[in-house]
Amino acid sequence: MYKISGIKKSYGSLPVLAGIDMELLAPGINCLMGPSGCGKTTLLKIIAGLLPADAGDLGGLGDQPLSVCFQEDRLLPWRTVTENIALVLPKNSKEKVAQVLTDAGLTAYANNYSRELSGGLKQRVNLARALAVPAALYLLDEPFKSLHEEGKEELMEWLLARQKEQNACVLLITHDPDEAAFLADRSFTLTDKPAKVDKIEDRRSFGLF
Amino acid sequence: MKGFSDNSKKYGYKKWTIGSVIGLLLLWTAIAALYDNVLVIPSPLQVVANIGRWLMEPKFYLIVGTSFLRAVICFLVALLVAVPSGIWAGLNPRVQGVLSPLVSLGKSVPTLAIIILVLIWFSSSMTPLVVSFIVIWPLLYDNVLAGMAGTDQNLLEMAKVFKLPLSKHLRHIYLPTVAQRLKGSVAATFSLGVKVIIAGEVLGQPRIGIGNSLQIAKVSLDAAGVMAWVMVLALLVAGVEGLLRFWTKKNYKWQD
Ligand SMILES: Nc1ncnc2c1ncn2[C@@H]1O[C@H](COP(=O)(O)OP(=O)(O)OP(=O)(O)O)[C@@H](O)[C@H]1O
Ligand SMILES: [Mg+2]
Repeated sequence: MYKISGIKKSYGSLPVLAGIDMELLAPGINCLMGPSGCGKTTLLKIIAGLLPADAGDLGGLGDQPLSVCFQEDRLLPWRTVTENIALVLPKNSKEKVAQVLTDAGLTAYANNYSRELSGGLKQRVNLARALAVPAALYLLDEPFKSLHEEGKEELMEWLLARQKEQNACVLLITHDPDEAAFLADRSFTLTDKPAKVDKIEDRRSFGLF
Repeated sequence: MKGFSDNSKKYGYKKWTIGSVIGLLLLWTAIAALYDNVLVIPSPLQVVANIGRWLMEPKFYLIVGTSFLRAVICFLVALLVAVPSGIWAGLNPRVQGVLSPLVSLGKSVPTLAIIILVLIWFSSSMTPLVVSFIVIWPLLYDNVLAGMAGTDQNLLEMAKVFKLPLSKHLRHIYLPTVAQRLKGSVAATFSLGVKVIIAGEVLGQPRIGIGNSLQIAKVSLDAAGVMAWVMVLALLVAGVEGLLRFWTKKNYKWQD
């Protein structure tokens, strides 16, 4: 469990985050929802250490080894799919890269440049790069957007498997309630900006314990 | 940068270029015929005949080769210095501060003044090389620096969260960004380098070089010779530019 408290952030005179308090399940998948432009990506960047918060405490969350799937694909246009994945792994990770490409269903595109890929495929590479790296915390910003249903389910299963394997904490931003229902151990909904946590839902436990 | 070549194809650029060259040659022929004095304005045919005669002499190739080699060496040295210095300056404002007066000097002092000074300090065979370096390095350096400044911030953020080491930053982000920037200007910079090399040869008079031969043609009032050398130079530069364009196209498959 990680406890984030009182995170505030304004861009100039525009208040975006008005004191965010969250208890993230770790290990577990935490979904973050909320209206467009409410500050979800802003919160993710603060946790990733890319943006300073004006106030608040990340409760040690920022110190974890982390990996990010950005909202935009952020692939190196001058490197192939394989090279983009290899980029974030240590030297001599050939087999690991091949495994990741297989898991992400990208083997057929291993040697393509990003301009040759559809939006959905770019997104796949983006997610594959994030999941390729071992981490305690995965920050995923709408990782399944622009993906079609068939491929999406496989990727979700892959994410679940990776999360279990690593015993990791996942913070996943999404606009899709079905996605959250399928994946989330806990989900947070933000209000419109200046954002506050509006609603917290836990997966109902049907277990015996 | 991209827009230009696209448009040029659309509007039949090539046809008009060829037309323009033919027009200029006709104009030249007409003026030469009117003036009717080989010592001042030889006709295109006379100039071409001159080049044809040179092509039979081994010495011609030695002269062209020497000047060309000078230009290539100087360009490569300038590039090899400009890329690391530009990247370093892009990463570190202090380095940029230290280098900025040197760059300004190189860009603002007239080439002729640089040649004269360098002649005082260096041997005549080194002069063309040194001068050309002084003129070209700042231009390439500026390009590298502009490339560094235009580096995609999103990619740098990505590199930061994945904790990529400096070596990977350089190899996978900075160098490709800078290369993309340079590829638009290498051809123009190279031809400028050739011009400076020739000017250095004319004034410095090393033993062999196109500049020397130009000077010799000039003092012997051989206008056809001077023009023939000019034509050889133009063809040489056009050839190199074509090669560079071909090479950059081949090596940038990832771009449209
Ligand atoms: N660098 C910035 N400078 C100024 N304003 C910004 C900046 N980044 C984001 N904003 C503003 O902050 C608000 C929150 O942006 P953010 O990207 O965090 O929203 P989001 O919840 O991720 O939206 P979406 O669901 O559309 O991705 C928006 O109003 C946006 O315009
Ligand atoms: Mg967002």
